[in-house]
Amino acid sequence: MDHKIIQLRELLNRKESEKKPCQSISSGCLPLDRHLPQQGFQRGSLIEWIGGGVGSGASLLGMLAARSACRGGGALVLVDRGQSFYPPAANAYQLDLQNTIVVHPTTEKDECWAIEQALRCSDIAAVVAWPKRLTSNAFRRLQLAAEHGGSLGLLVRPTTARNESSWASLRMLVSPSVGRQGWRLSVELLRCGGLFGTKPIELEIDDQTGEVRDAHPRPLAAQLAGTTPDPRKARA
Amino acid sequence: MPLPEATALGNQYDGPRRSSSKKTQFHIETHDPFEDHKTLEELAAWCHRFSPLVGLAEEEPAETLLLDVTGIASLFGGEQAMNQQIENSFLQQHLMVRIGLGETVGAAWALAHYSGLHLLELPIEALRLPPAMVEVLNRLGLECIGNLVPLPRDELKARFGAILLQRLNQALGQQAEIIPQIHAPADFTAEWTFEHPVTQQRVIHEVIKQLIERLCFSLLKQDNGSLQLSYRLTCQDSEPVTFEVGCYRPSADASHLWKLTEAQLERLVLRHPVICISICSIRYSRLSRQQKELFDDSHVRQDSPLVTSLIDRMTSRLGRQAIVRCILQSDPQPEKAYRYEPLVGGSRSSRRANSHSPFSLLDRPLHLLAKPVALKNYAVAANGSPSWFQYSSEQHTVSRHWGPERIETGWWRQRGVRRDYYRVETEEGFRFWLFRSLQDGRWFLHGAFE
Repeated sequence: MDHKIIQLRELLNRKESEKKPCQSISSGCLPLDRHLPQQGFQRGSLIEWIGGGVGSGASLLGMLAARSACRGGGALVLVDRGQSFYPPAANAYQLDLQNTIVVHPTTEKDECWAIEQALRCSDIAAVVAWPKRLTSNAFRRLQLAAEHGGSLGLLVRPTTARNESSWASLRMLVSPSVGRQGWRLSVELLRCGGLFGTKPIELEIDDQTGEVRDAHPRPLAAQLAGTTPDPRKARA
Repeated sequence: MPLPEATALGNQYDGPRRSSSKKTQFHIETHDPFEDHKTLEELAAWCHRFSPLVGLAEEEPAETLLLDVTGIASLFGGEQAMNQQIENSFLQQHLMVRIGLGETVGAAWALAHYSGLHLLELPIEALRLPPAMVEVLNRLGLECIGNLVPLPRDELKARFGAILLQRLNQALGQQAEIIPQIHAPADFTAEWTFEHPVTQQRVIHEVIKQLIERLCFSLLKQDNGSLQLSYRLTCQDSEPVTFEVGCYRPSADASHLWKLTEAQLERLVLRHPVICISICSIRYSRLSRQQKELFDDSHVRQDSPLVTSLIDRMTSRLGRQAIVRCILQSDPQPEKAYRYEPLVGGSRSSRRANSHSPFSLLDRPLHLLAKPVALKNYAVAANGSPSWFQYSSEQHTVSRHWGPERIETGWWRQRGVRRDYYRVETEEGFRFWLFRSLQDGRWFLHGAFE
């Protein structure tokens, strides 16, 4: 049974790598990268974070990914229909606001159109948006636009989106919890190229420094010795 | 004009009516520097009826129109009659102007801004010098332009830099000064009159396409690109339909301009047959050409043609105010710590480099409510921090908090703020940004760490 699963996983990975050029962008936090198939997100794909409610921290991970995507060049587009995005906070994330275009659509249709247009533009590194509702057709259009333009679509969705169909290549559920030294966020990979049923990844953000680290780091000796099998190596 | 000054001026005009205990109701509009400059440019173009050479003074913000009236006063019946005629023409447009007539640009500017009969009697400020330099000169006892004239020029230059000497020479006519010309509106207009009124959209679209091509041809001939196109569709038995299309960068690309126009036409409802269509490029500029890099620079910015085209498309459909850039302000009041500026038509000079943020990652929330939401149900612990609160029908128990961070500012505005901010973490791990107003003791939710 395990052998079949490994075979299927390899097949899926091969299909995925044939479809898209192998260009990955760091998610902006190393502990998360370690658990992702290509150590990051694939350019020209959609990434979906489902937040567990107001104040859950899903946008924070989206911003870290946007910052990482823009490091290689390209502008950032923020489609903010709710007009609640707070630029001074983004400045604290070291986002280049000079190179950021903020779009304030007023309707759901315009919001979807703006995301699609931005994703289609190959000089845009990443598009961050907070769409509340997306039909399957609209979602598919966004996915095709991202593939066409090679941009990274970072969508932060409400909890209600969990039961909706998705065309994102990576879907994560973000739920916060109380950490000892910082803010703890639990990231569950709901969908991730061949990885199913993995354990949630526990991240901890330091209140003082803002550093994102693994909440349960492996002991240093184990890291050096490589005794704990790496999930990527296991797949290879 | 700042609001307090404008209010004082309004009250001054209100004086005679005060006896009837009726006060003027002020209409307050937000200052839009772009619209201001645009209107001044339009006025400059309109002033070509008085002079063949009209320009705007190089100052920030521009507020002075320069007209070269050399040898043309006699056409108006003398200098005084000319001034009177210009003033009356502006008054007819409900605009008050101060006119200064001088031998040089500098002298005319000085006489328009400062009252006096002779240039040498005017204060030093009339030389268009930086305020700091004026202060130093005043401290040295040099108060009017006449005081500067007998001083040795070399020493003036050595002590105050070239600008003082340049301005003085320009005012006295010893150094030439060029008027940065605003050209008379070129005829970048294309028009089509139908033989019979037309209702078919396909025909209207086809005609507009052809008109755009014709307009682009005349723009390209003069190496210009359009920044703003104005459309006028004259309809039978009805008011004409008008709309505008703006561009982030000057463009004379017919297909690009058509795409922007098409986005507007999609939303246009024509209820009456169209008899005439005219397009006019109301704002245009020299086409910017960018030399290609020898080595491909992967760092693409907002100036890239693809991004420019995206901005234009989005502006055309969503409106100028919907596509913006963020500009950080050094104001401690959270909601005033930034402002948005439209990308199309926004002033490029206001671009400010990103300053290093004084905050760490979790100091400020990524989502700020447009207006703080007053909390109705909450409890406060003995140390003054919130212990629980209710927001959108959910009760949140606070397990940890950081603060208070006192923000007390804005006293110079009519409504200053005095707030104690708390970052709170609930038992479930959700994080919010709350504050207690020190003015009335009420608690508000201002943001969420999403």
